[in-house]
Amino acid sequence: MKFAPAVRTDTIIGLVVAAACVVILAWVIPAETSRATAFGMPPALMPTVTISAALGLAVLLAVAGTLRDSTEAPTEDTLELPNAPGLACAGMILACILIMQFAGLLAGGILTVAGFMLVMGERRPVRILVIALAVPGAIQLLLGSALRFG
Amino acid sequence: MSEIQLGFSDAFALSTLVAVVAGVLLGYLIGVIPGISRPTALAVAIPVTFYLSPISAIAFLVAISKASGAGGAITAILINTPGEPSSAATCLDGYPLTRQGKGEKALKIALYASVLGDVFATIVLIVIAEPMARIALKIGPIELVAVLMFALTSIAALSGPSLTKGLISGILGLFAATVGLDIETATPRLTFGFIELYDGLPVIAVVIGMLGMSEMLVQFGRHFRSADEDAAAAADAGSTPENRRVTWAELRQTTPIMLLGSAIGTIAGILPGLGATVASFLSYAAARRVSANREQFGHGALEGVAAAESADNATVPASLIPLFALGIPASVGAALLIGAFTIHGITPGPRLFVENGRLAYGVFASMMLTSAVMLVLGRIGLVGLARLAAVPQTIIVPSVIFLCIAGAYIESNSMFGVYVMFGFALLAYVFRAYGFSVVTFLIGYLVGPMFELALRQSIIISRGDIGRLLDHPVALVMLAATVVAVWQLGRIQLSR
Repeated sequence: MKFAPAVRTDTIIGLVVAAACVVILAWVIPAETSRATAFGMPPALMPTVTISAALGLAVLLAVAGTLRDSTEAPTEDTLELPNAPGLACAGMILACILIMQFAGLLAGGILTVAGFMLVMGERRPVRILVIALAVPGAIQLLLGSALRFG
Repeated sequence: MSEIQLGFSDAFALSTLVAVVAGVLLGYLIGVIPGISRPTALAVAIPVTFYLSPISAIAFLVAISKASGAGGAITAILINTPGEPSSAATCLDGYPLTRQGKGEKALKIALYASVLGDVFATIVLIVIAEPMARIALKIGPIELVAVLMFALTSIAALSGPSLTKGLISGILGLFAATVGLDIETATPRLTFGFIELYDGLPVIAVVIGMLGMSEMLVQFGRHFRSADEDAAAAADAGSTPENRRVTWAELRQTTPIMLLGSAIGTIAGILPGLGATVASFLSYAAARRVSANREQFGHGALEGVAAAESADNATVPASLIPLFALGIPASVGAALLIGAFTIHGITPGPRLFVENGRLAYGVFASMMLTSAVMLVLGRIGLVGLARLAAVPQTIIVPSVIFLCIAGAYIESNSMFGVYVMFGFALLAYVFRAYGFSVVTFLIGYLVGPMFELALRQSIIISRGDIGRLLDHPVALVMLAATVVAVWQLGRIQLSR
């Protein structure tokens, strides 16, 4: 998917960040911080100040993106939809999380390593088996007491 | 026994020695393999240090940092592919030397230059960190707020082509640091009902996600865009014994350049935001200017290799100077060390020498030891390490992905850390795609708690009266410097 050539990426990014900052300022911070107390700095002050600063800078970015190159031919800005490898990666990550959630870290680790190797084009079964067992196995040996596998 | 003696004895304990050797080996491995950067390696290694003593943990991580810089030169010289971004300048003369059959000579010069740069900057660190810390103890919260603002602004400005995006990244990092219990009222802030967030976002998961996991996602995508060619170490064609050996004359010729590079690297390492890549190119340019053989540069000049590598490695210990003295990280590696210190209940900064002097001196001693180990292991393993450049991405990427998952899991001992890790990996991927700085975000996130605490103390001390700033000239100077820096850098970017 490509945007029309006249649309500039920095303008879009600036507007998206600014919109997110507005939502955070208007809803998230008031909902997720307690009221000011009689002493000290209000809990919401630091989040509010930082997001307000980010909002100002995002607006600046959007304006600068629009004004920049106004006399030059616009560049072609592309925003690629997830392609096949991207979708495969996202699918693998979701699968890994599900397997680890229910079958444990070791099983999930073996399948994660093997799955990513296959998706990346590795087709030698011995290599896949060795690496898929060796890496989680080595971590288990190194950090066995820290990681409660399974 | 004095703290210095106790610290030195800690550094030479068996557990610390093992940690140093393991860190150097791992650092060389990381440096040699393109695609795994130093920050990624540090991020993934931090969870491993949970169960080490503080001195072993810090020594291990510092050893990785130092050795990865030296290791990055190997692939830069042999196959024109820098193992670390900071080794890019080494390619300019290193690879031509390989094509002339002098690859091994270049590798040796790179190793000697790396070690010399490292030792030089470590000595500077040992000599000036504590005096700086004593001065810094006189600095109050108001000055600390001003210094942090200046440091964050410098880092944001130097982290990428867009100052605005760099500042947004740093500020979002400060925002991310506000998640958790408010330190004054102990009420939940931005926790969305998750008890796991009461202590804030899990540091290791955030760091691993933004550095390690996101880098692997980028490598994964890159794997499909370019042909998957296994990187093979170039045959050192036409190599003779003379071409493999470094003569005394060559050592005499390159030593002044190594010292120049070490000095440049040390200064660049101290200043927040510059980093090893800038330092190595600055050193290369300076060496070319002063060298009697400047026409050789770019065509196989040993001085070019020496200049780049000495500066590259000098930045690592030098970036720890503001960390130890002021608690301010001058690089992402130093920022990650804050995470490691925090895990062990230690706060880096001027009070480190007062409250944990033994640890500080132990770290200094272990750093000197690391330099010696780097020289010995690097010299012995030169040829073997070069073969590691051939490990294919189909093995590296899946393995590191699992290491990231395991590391995130360890911190919280639950899948929550893994979810946070993936979330921040996705954020970092988006940051990279649209020119926002991951490094600035992370530094903002890691210094955020210190910044907020200093800000709160400043407000209490000044009772909210901004006129009280006039009683703090150092803070005024730093704030003015911040404004000037933003103005000047903004003008430069606008003119571009």
